[in-house]
Amino acid sequence: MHTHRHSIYCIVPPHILQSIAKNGQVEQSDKAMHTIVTTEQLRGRRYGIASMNSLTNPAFLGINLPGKDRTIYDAQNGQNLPGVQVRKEGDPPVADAAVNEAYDGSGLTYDLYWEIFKRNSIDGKGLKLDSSVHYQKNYDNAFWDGRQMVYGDGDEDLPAGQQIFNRFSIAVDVIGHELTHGVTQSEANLAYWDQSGALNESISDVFGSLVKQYHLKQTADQADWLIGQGLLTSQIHGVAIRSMKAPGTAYEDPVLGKDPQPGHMKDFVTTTQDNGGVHINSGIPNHAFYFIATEIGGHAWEKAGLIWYKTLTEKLTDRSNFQDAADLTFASAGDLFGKGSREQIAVWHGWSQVGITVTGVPSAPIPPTPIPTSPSPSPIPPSPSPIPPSPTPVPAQGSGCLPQVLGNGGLSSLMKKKVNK
Amino acid sequence: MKINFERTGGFAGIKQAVSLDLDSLSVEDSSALQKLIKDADLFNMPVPDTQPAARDGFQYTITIMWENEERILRVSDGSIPNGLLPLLNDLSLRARANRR
Repeated sequence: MHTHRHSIYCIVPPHILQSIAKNGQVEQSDKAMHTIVTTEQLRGRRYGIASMNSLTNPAFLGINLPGKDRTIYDAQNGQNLPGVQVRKEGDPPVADAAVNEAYDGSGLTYDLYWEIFKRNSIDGKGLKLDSSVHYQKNYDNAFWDGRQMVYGDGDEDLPAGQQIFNRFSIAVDVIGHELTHGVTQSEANLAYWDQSGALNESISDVFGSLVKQYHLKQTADQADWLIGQGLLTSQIHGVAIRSMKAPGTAYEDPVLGKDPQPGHMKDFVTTTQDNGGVHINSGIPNHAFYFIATEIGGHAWEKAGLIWYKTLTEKLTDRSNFQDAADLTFASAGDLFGKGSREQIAVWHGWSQVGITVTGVPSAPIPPTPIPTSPSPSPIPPSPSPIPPSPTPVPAQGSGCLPQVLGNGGLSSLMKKKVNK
Repeated sequence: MKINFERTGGFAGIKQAVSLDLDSLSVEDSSALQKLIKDADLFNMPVPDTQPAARDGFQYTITIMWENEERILRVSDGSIPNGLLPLLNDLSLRARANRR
């Protein structure tokens, strides 16, 4: 899935190319501009060189340049954003670890989205990646404010004996999580309450974890599937904030309490707090993604991640719920890898394992039978819809394959079946 | 005067809360808290702008009860009036200590 890059682009950062195009001698400028334009004609980008002559200005031509454009600000323990600029794209590291973490983490997140999904930044159009660190005092949180990332120092200002959280820029998956909120905002724009909100949170966890896995070049079985590893101080009994592999097990501590995440629909938490438990019930789709990625095997970003990305950018809508996510990821897997493919079967299995049955397809056998590595014959007929055109599903045979569905009629009852909150 | 404070949401989704009866606090502590409330000017505070696109921010609910009156204030990260911040920080630390 790696994207071939123009050789000059690989070596010379876009901001340098822009500078050469603007300030270099005629021949240098022409070469740089040629590189910019040639590269961008392939990819598209929003930003250009505003101060250049409009005839050679990529922005004027509607051309967008791919490339990281990061700026890190210091909120200086206040809440006025963005704060004082302390590092911009291309600058060397500074003495402040939080600044460098925000810079590096947003770069790694950009890399995943660009190199794997061909997405140019959060909005797909090269949006600047702005981050502010040192937000407020004793602020044990990170958030996306709709335009930029914001990181607190955790409890680093408190006496050592009282510290629960380290600074929130310390975990690269947290950075990936926050930036992915921006991607979701640009795409499905999932509502931030109830199941839509939990799905929104889960998608941020999924891609946050993928940023970390891609950086470490880990396969699904090598990954820890933890979200926020390193955030908790050594005084806390816990390994992270959430576990996608085993929701509800990330921490259990006399001060912090117990990780409340469910990993199955039978344990779905109904609450009015936290926008209807968006950080709690996200454990269910998180768990499904883990099952799917590990069943497919290999690097999670290559197939499971691609299925999720396609679903996020092409299929989910603002009010989508868990059932929709199951149905639409199933459809995406069929689109990408073929109906009845082992990848689509893995999606079917994964959602079944958290108590969600893909609409129109019987529950998968649990635990799933290992899937052969070679593609199996498609057990379902080609269809533009992920929902088989029949209400009469044949029970799963325990083979791990999707059941063949025959006949017509009676589908409505299956289609209307939704997960109870 | 009594104060209930609750902080929910956030990246970790961990709730913190504390209930305070100013009459049961030390004179110094009660005076300090009353000063923060006064400085925040809660009763004349403009309604904060909300940021609907914010994600993972904390939501804060402050309930102040005195005599037969009650005032409930809800704000979220990204839209907190500067004058309210010292009171929120103080209550957050008290809620945090309340976990222990």
